[in-house]
This record gives sequence, C-alpha cells and structure tokens, in this order.
Amino acid sequence: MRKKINKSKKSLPLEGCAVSSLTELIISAPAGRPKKPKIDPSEAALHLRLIQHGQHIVEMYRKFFPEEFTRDGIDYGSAERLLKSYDDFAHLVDARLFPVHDFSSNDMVWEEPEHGLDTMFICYHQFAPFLWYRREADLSRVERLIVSAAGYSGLEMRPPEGYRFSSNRLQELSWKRKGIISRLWLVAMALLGGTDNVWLDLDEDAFYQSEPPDWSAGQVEWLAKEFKEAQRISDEINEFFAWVGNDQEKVLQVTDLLRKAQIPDKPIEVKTRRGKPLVETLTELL
Amino acid sequence: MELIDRLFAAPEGVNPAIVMSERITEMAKAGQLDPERIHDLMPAIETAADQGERDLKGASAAFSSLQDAGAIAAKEVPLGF
Repeated sequence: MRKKINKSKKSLPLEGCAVSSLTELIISAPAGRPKKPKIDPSEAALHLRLIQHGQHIVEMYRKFFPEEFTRDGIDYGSAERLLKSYDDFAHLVDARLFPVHDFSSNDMVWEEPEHGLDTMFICYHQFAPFLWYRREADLSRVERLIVSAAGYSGLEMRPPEGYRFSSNRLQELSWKRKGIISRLWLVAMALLGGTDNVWLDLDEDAFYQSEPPDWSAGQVEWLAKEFKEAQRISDEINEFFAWVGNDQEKVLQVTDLLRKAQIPDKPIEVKTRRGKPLVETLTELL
Repeated sequence: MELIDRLFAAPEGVNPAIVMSERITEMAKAGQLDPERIHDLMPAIETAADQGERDLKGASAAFSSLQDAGAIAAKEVPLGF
C-alpha cells in the first residue's frame, strides 16, 4: 500500500495550473546574494534523487508526447534543469489532456523527491463547475428549481410530505422526451454531484480527503478520458441552459418533469407466498 | 575518542553525491546523456545518493554537536591578549 501523504495546503496558482514556481523562485531570490561557486551536497543529492525517482516521468513524456520528447529531450544537467524538463511534461499534460499542477509548484518535490514526483496534483480549480453548493448565490431559476425539487435548498419545489425525489424516475421521464429537455436528468446530476465523472462530482474538500492519484500512464489516460467526457457533458449542460433561458413555457416543462420525479416515499412491501407481508411472517417466526 | 579527535582523524574527501552530480553535469554538457545511458548509470547514482545523504547527515550531526558543545577555557592565552 502506498504511504499516506500529507498534502500541502499551499495555495496553488489559479490560472494555467502549470505555472512554474521554479522560475518565480529564481526571480525572487534575494538580490546581491553571492552565487555559490560549488554545488552543495544537499543540492547534489537532490539532483541524483530527481534522476532516480523521475524515470517514470521520462517514460510518460516519451509515451504521450513523442514529438516534444524527441525535440526537447531531458536536461539532466542540474536539479533545476531536470525539474524544468519534468515540468515541461506536466505543462503538456495540462495544456492537452487535463488540468494539473507541475512538479515544482509543490513543496514536496524539494523535501521528498520520491513522493513529489509520484504524487499528482490535479487542478482543483477546475473541479465540479456545476455543483450547486459551490455557487448557491449565483444559481439560475431553473437550477434553483432542480435543487429545491431534490429537497436540498429552497422551498419552491420541495417534495411534499411523504414524497421524495427520485433521480431514477427523472432519468426515465427525461429520456422519454425529445429534444434538449431530455438532458434535464444530466443537468440535475451535474448540479447534485451524481454524474459519476470525477471532474464534475469531486469538490475541493473531497479532493483533500482522498488519496491523490499517482503519476502513472494508467492514471494519466484515465483522467484524460474523464476530462474529455466532462467537457462533452459540460457543453451539453450549457446548451440546455441556453435553451431554457427565461422562457416561461420551457421552465414549466422543467417544473412538470421535476414534479413527476417526486414519488411517494412508501416502504416497499414484500409479501410471502401465503400473502402475508414478509415482516409479519418474520416476526411470527422469531 | 573525543569528537574533535575523530574529526581530525577522519579522511579527507568530497561528498559522493557531489562527485556523481558533477560527473552527470559534465556528461550532460558533452551531450553524452540520454534516458538509456541514465538507466545504465542508475545503480551508481543510487549508491552515490545514499552515501551522499549519509555523509550529509553525519556532517550535520557533528556540526550540531560542535555548535551545542559547552565552552572550555583555553589553557594558554591566545596571541594578542
């Protein structure tokens, strides 16, 4: 089992999640400090550890971006230059596959190179763009209706006494309809965090409570696939909101489906062969 | 043996991590390094990193001991006093 890692709560850059802090470190070095003529032992050890524990990064660089790998190669010249090569790979992942922070943005790479190069810090600024509780104050009318119908917030469509919201029922009803209204279930799931897509359902808190992914080819492929799917779903959802707009008739269609997705909250009665409810039969037996 | 005596008796040498790091830097400058070559060098790199860190820890421990050591009055008056 992997060693549990204490994740750094250092605030990571918001934009272009792959901004290299190495450059910032170099720029912000105290002016006038004499440059050491010789390499110091800790820097030398870091150099070697970065080589030792970064082989999988080199392999992934070669696998996912062969052109860039052939063109730019890996600069083994020093710890900083090697880290820059690793960061170049992370920047390519960030630009082309999914949002992720580079290696030098994380303090861990300096303190524990093995874990710093093994642990992936996906960019949580991109998480869950539709989750209702992350932007409660900015919800549109239709979004408020969905959240209220599901029983979470607001009274406008709160399920009546003895009723509950059924996402299965909403899915069934939505998929029977033609046109963009058929996406209502998907929209509701994105708002409520039930899409089963990691980029749409995971929020910052859940991210910090979970084990971070490893930098491995399998994880990169899976996260890239999920991110592509999240983008497709997001486009469909945004089209839905553009379609509804403030059109009263369309809002009524939404309301109608949401109301029908609120079903009686009765326990299911299972009967035995003799016709008696199962609970009664079990009570007698016991 | 006292710490000072041990320090005086210790052989002189450069930290193995520095030696290997400088060797790699030179090889990189000469364009002699690629991932395959690094793969071949890996056992030597790991050994140098381990030994380098061990020496670094030892040096830090000795330095801390010297820093925390109590003052002892000199038997002779230093020159100039």
